[in-house]
This record gives sequence, C-alpha cells and structure tokens, in this order.
Amino acid sequence: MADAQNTRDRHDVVGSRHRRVDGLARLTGEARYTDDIFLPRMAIGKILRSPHAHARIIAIDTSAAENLPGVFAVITGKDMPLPYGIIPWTQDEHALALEKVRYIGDAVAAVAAVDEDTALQALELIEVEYEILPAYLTPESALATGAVKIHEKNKKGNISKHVLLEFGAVNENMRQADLVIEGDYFFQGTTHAAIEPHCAVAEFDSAGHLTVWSATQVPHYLHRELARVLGLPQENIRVIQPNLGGAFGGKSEPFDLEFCVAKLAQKCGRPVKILYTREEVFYAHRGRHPMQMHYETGFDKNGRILAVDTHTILDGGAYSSFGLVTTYYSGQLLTAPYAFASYRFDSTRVFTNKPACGPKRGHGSVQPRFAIEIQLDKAAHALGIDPIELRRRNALPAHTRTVNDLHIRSNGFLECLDRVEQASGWKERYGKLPFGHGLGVAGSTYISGTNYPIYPNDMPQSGVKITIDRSGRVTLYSGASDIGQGSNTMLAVIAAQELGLEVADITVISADTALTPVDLGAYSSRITLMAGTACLQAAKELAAKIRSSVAKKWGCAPENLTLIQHSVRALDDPDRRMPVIEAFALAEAEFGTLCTTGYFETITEGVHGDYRGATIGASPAYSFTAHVAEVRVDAETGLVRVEKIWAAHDCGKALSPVSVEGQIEGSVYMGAAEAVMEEHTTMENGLLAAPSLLDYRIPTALDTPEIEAMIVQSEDPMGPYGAKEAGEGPLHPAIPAIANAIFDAVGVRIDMLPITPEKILAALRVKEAEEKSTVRD
Amino acid sequence: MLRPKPFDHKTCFSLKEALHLLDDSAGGIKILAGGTDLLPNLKHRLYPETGAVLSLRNLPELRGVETQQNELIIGAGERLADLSSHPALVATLPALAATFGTIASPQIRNMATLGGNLCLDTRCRYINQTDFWRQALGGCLKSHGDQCHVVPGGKNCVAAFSGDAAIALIALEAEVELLSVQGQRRIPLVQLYRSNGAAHLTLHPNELLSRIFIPLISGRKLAFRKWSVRRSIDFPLVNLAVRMDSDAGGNVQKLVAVVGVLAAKPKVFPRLADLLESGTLDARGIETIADFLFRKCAPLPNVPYDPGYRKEMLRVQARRALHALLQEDLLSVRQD
Repeated sequence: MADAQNTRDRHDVVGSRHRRVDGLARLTGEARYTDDIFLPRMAIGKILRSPHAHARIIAIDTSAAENLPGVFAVITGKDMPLPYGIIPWTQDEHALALEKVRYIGDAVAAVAAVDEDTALQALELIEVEYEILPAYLTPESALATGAVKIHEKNKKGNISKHVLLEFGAVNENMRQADLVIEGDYFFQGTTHAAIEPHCAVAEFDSAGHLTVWSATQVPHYLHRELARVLGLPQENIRVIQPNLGGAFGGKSEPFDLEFCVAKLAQKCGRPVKILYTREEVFYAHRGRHPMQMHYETGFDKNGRILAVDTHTILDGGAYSSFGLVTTYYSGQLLTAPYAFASYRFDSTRVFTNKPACGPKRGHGSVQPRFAIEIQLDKAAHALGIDPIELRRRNALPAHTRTVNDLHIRSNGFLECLDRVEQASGWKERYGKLPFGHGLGVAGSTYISGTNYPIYPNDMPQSGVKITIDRSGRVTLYSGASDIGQGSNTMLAVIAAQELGLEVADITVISADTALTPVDLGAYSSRITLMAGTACLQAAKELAAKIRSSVAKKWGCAPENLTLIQHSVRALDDPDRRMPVIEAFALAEAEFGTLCTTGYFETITEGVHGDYRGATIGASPAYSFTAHVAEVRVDAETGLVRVEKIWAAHDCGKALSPVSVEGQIEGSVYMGAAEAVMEEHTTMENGLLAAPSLLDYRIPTALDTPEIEAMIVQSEDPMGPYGAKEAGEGPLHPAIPAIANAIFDAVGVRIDMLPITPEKILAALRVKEAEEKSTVRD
Repeated sequence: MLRPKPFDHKTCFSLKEALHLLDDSAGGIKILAGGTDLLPNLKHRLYPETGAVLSLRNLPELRGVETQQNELIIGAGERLADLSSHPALVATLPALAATFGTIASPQIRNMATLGGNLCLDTRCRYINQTDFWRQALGGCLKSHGDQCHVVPGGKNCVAAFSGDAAIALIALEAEVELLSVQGQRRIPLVQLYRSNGAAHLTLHPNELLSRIFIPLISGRKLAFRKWSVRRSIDFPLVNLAVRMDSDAGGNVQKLVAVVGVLAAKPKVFPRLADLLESGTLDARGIETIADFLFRKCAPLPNVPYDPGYRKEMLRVQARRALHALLQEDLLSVRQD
C-alpha cells in the first residue's frame, strides 16, 4: 500500500513540471488569435474618435461617408442609445458617444467598408460639430466649484465614488502611539500594454443569430451586455474568446468595438472586424488609477501597528468602469498581511477628461501597498528595528479575521519573509552595503477571486463539464478565459491528475458561450480557485464512476483503486492493473455516455463582516507575497538599476509550478516597470503624452532585473488541492521593495512614482544641502 | 496597425536608374533603405506629399567597406548590425563600431543602414504621433500648422536630430558623397545638416547619399556616450562624442565634442583643447570642458523627458566620455 502511494506521488500531475496545453501552438505561431479570423465577405470597421477632451456633440453628418464607394454602413450613437458598463449600478458608457465626448479618443461614429483604406477615408468624410467644454485633467480641477459635470446624471458633481470606513478606535490609538509616521504618496497611472491589441469580429447568420469573437477576458459579461445594448435575445448571441495575446485586466469589460462590429454587421449584412491600433489601446486604457495617498500610521515602541488612517484621491478618468470596486479595494485590501489594531480609509474617485482607469493586475491594491510598505520602512528606521523583523512582529496568523473582518484561512506570509531574507543574504548585507547599493523589503496579500459575481445572482460562478470519448481522449469544457495565464493548462492538470492521464490527453474547450458552462471571467485572480474547484468536482465524479465499474469487475472496493499512468490499479496489489481506456469502456457500458459536471458556488458563510461594503474585498482565500529588491543607484546621474528581486509567493499549492514561477516573474517584471519607468500621462490639452510602445516605455530584456521566484505552499482549505492565486499578488511588493532599497542605497525617499533619475538627483541635492547646513549649525 | 497612405513602390537595378527616378519625381518620392525610420513615419502620415518610395535594395554599388589612402570608405547601404562587427572597422575604429552597435535595437540594426541613420528625420514629441493625434493638437510648424509647441511663439522648427552615427562620424571629420544625375559632390558630414527641423538635410531632393569617408589618423581617439531611458530600442535623449588628437609626446593637439538631440543640427565644439590649461587632458581639464558643454548646450522639451535633467546628464556624459579618452580600450558605452 505504501509502495503504491509512493508511485502515486511520483506520478502526480499536480505539482509536476509539465508543458502548457497551448505552449507549442503559441510558440510555433499555430495559435489563432482574433485578428487571424478572416470570414468570407468580411468588411473592415473603423471608429472615429473625438479630438476634444470634453465637448458636446451638436451635429454629425455622415452622408459623405455613406456615399463613398466601398462603404457598407455608418453608425453613430443613435444606433445604440442604451448605456452599458461592467458594474450594473454605474453604467455610464455608450458604444458611440450620444450627446457628449469625455476624453480625447472617445468613440463618436463607426464605419464598415470593403477594406481598411476605404474605412479610413470614410472616417475623414464624417463631419462632427462640437461645442467645446472645459476639460478637467486633474481631480482638483474636476472638483473645483463651478466645474461642469462630466456626467450630467451624476448626483455628486464629478465625484464618481466615495467610501469612508472605520474599524476600531483610530483617533484614540493614534493619540496613544509612540510613533506616528505621516506621508504623502503618489502612484502614477500606468497601463497594461498587452501585446495583442483589442480585436472583435461579428457575424449574423441567416436566422439572425449573432456570433462575436473577441479578445476579451469576460465573455459572459460581454454576452449579457451585447444582448442588452443591441436589443437581441441573449439566446441568439454566441460569444467566443479565441487565444488571447495578453490582457492583464485591460480586456475585462465590454468595449466600443465589440458593440460596433455587431451593429455594423447587422446593418451591412456582412461579417465585420475591428482591430484597434496601438493608439486606440491606449485610449481604451482601464489601467491603474493615479492615486494621491495621504497616510498616517501609528506604532507602539515595539513597532506594532496601532492605527492606520488613509485619505486617497483616485483619478478615475472619463467613465466609471470598475471604479466602484477600485475605490473599495484601495482601502479594503490593505488589512493583511499585517494586523492593524484600528483602521480608517477615506477614498474618493473623481471623474476627469482622460481615458478611463480600471483594473490592472493587482486591481486597486497595488497603489495603497506602495504607500503602506514605505510607511513601515520609515517606522523601522525611526524605531531602529530591522524592516523584516518589524513585518514579522505585525504579521497576522493563519485562520484569523482582519480588522475589516475578512476571513483569512491559510497564511504562508512568515515563510515568504523567511525565504526572501535567506535567499537575499539580508542578515549579512542589509544596511551594510556601500553607498549606492541597497536592499529593500516589502510584503503583500491578494484575493483568490472576489467572493461575489458582479451582478447579484445565486447561480454558480464557474462550471466545468468533462466528457470522455471512446478513444480515451478527455474533453473538458469551461467558460473560463485563458488570457495567457495558463488556466486551460490548470484545468487539464486537475483532470489528468484525477483520471490517471497526462496533460496532453486532455482537450480543453474554453470561453465559448455556446459550448461551455458559464464562468464569470478572468479577473480578480479567481479562476484557479473557482474553475479549479468546479473541475476537481467534475473530475472526481467521473473518476468515481470509473473506479466503481472496475471495482465491480474485480470484486473489490472502489476505494481500493486508483487511476494513475493510464491505468486503473489496486492500491494493495501494484501488479493488478487495467488500461484506463478499458476502464472507460466499462464505465460507459455501465453508466451510459460519460459526462460529468462540477461547479463552484459562492461561499456565503463567514467570508466577511456585516457592514455596508463588507463584501467588496472579500475572497474565499488570500495569497501572500514577500520581495527583497537589490538596487544600484548612480548618485551622479540618479539612474537606478534594479539588479535582482527575490520573490516568495504563497499560492497555497502550485498545481503547475512552471506556470506559477512564470506568473511570479511576469508580475515582478510588471511591478519593477511601474516602479522606475511607466507613466500613462496626458499633456496640457488632454492628449496622451505617449500613446505608442516607443514612447510608453516598458522594460526591454536588458532593463529587467534578475528574478528569483520562490513558491510557498500553505494549502488553503478552500482551494483545489489547497491552491490559491498566483497571477496578481506577486506584483505588489516589487514597487515598495525597490523604493525601500533606494533608501538603503542612497538615503533618499522617493514617494512619488515613477522613480525617475531626476527625482533621485533632486532628492540627493536636497539631502546634500541639508547635511551641509547641519554641519554649519 | 496603422496604415500609411497608399503609395507606389519603385525598384531599380542600377545607381544610374535610381538617380534618374529621383530626378524625375520632383521630391514626391522617398528613399527606402532599411525602412526603420521611413515606414513608421509614413504610417504616421508625416509626408502627405509622398506618393512613392524608391527601394535601394538591389544596388550593390551602395555596399562595401574599404580602406584607401588613410581613409575608411563605407557604402551608405551597409547595415548597422554588419558594421558594428565589421573586422576592418573593429580593427581601425573600435569606438565607432561600438557606437553603431548601440543604435536602436538588434532587430532594427539588422535592417537599418548607415546612410539611413545619417538621413534620419528629426524627431519631436509633437510630430512623431499619428495623424489623428497631430490634428487633435492643431498641428505644428512641421505638420500642417503654424505654431511651435516646444518654443511658444517660435518660427523655426526645433525638432531634434536623434541619430547616433552622425554624432560620432562628425567628431571623426567624416565626409559624405552625394550623387545626382548632375554629378557628385563630397561635403563634410556636418554640412549635411542645417538648423531647420522641418527640413534639416542639405541633401537636394534629387540627391542620394552614397558613401561615407572617414579619415584614419594615428594618435586619434574617440569616445561616444548616450543616455536613453531603456538600454535598447529607444532614441537617445542625450548623446555626444568627443575626439582627441595627441602628438607622440601625449600633448593634446585637438579636442572636439559633438552634441546631438538638441535641435535639428548637431552642435560641434571644435576648439576644446584651448580650455586645457596644462595642455593635457587631466581631471581638472575634464571638469572644465564638461562644465563648458553644460553651459553651452540647452536641451529643449522637443523630445521626452525633463530638459533640465537632460542638461545635467549632458555634463555627466561629457565627463565620462572624456575619462574614456584617457583609457586604452575605447568602447562606446551607454548609460552606466
């Protein structure tokens, strides 16, 4: 029995270093993306965009465009007057602007033509008369008295959302604190820069049924919104998400092009494709909110956090997007991995005349994490406590509740800290490196899926169906979107593990609303936990049927059988085995066609507290991360070189360790880029300063630090095999760890992102002047 | 993907044919060598008058590297990647070869030619954008408009010449051969440029840059430095080259600096040796010259990044380039 168990462990698919199901196809160029779709008679669509940051539309004349030979259809806002938006309570977008344009790049009209050149020519022929309105490019100007409302129906001027929540006696604790650190932080806006631009294709069949292929992370929500805005029955619409070339949160809500291709296809009776230009991707944006954060943190003399008091202004851009959630996340997700004795956050999201901000990898919580981790570093220095030790003293235990009543189960944070401390040689090197060379630490937490669906309902959040054909091939159907993060592989790993197969034996059909059970989409790092749980349930049920049929034939107990290495084996007699394909046939003969389903239902008990807003930020499980960054700073130029980042991430259980390491590396890369390089900013007139990948700089391989990814496995009771998220959490600590390392290297604090060389140089000069005046005194 | 305005693509199989095509087209044709500058600019629709491109692909006359009478001659059609590792270049002018190896990115150097890099169009934050973007801006001196956004009220386009090769080659007193149906002329490379960002080349519309001549002089040293935010791909935000000629006794005969990315014309400082009190390049002399260049150069907000910081960087890079001249192995290096 023990031998069989050993064999079992050795041949576990879960936790093994396997190939991705789509790896070869992506590497060889065989994988088909949305823009690879060419349909007979397909027209090419283009969208006319506003050259004004804020204006009223007086008139649109499309007649010249309509008369251009080769133009099949022209549409404007009047063709789709219903507003949409990912959050049901804040639907404030139109596929094409109805009365107003709210940022440079807002969609105004769309054409479908025989080819792209003709479509572009047609756009030039559309005449739009605008009445220019004052453009508000900062939250301050948008909130000023007398400012024109960007959304006329909004109740509170240009305030998009305000949240104030308090837990415990903040004022009293702050008064009793031995040390209060006060700081102002600014997190610059950044965008996702996925390499595949947004793309959508629509086709109506002769029965009037619509198919939309789209580079989306949320086929289900897109399905619903298409039906509503187009006024079509949902059952007559099919949404398919082809292979995706990156998303990172930038494709997690419906966009203008998806409605436009559908409406244009309907109008001209041909399939229509629209592919964004890179510039349009920058206008579509939904990237990280710029946040101004005022933080006050009270500590006792041992470094324990007594009170945290934060004021945050979120620069939301022109539309709500996920902003309601972002505003909550900017406070709700700060309460781990450290215990706060009391906490208050006051967050205000403001509309401005810029591309809308939304969710980018680490939605809403990367910015506050930057602020709090520098606050902790400042406190460690003020109190003379090692920054890792200070974090240990404040670390929450496993199986606890946070100050805002989130239920944390597994918690590997201390092990993460230990791992990065050891790997980086922290004890020997921190604070002892020569001037210009430094180490910094930071920690973080993130959700493994938001606990509730975006629109309230009691149905499962994720479903999986598994079938077996007579060849022994298993086909797995899931609505979950593989956006490059490897969720299709994750599902195949679970099915292979349970059915005694290999990853390559499983075909995964995903993200097709006509074929796959509903999954809510690739956002909030929810798929491994939620779709993984659904898959495990379906696979276990199927495996049970197979074991039961074989047990019947062998006259033994089903519990005595295991499926492993393409065979069914008896645990007490390793020589007794049956090829799995025979076992499948036995089961099909006994139970009929083999097909099982599994689903993940919302957890309703104990996940969060009972106050208004308590549900936002709540998750079935939380991941934990710690980073140590090593930097070199050239004090003459102010240039920072991030040499290395050690990243330890508690993902519960690594189902695919190579994928988890890849997610850690990708996250660290993205965080380091935001720390020292990326800025999504506008010029004085509201034009984007860098709407191209030449000017919006993301690091090249030469600019990327060495990354050491370490996996910590705390095995959460809520996740499949104990798994939690790995796709977003590992980004958070990179930015403050780098900022803290810069302080260790040259003794200056840069609290405003990105940390550019001129900021460092300026801070070094101020420091130099201060030191000189101190000497004189 | 951005679409250029539709254009004709012309090929030719002899230099003579190419020159006739250029002569006949009256400026409505653009020369396509590697295409790494021209094609993005066409996609941005920067040249509304351009109806055709002339491909130089099939002109072997534009290739080749040879040494003749203390002169290195490089065909304008040579690719930057090949030049950066060319044995003749590495042996005689290692710092120049290394400079070529820092331009843009490996992929771009595989396509881009030296002639193309010398004829690189000027760049500006307000120009190198899409047609939509520039129209939303309201145009500028170089692009269907009459106002300058870099220097408010300015009447002269200050778009920046952002080539790297030219900076090092001007420091080396390189000359270029320009061919047309009327004949050929040979001019110092520095005279290829003029200070009008909207038309910065003195090359006539019917002329083709064919060869580059670099004098080989013993006792001559070159150092090139640049700063760009990323270590690959990016155009320089600061670049400069320094060249020093010394006699056998180590006395500096001539010290020259060339600075790019300021405006449309590279800035040349030919008599820096006069600033050396000791007659040799020592630590004090390096500081003096670095300070001098710092005072004399005024980066503008024509390319991204804070001009004040770029000015500071110029001083640091000048200092580092001058220090490099004191070392035996001259390699052009980037940002640290």
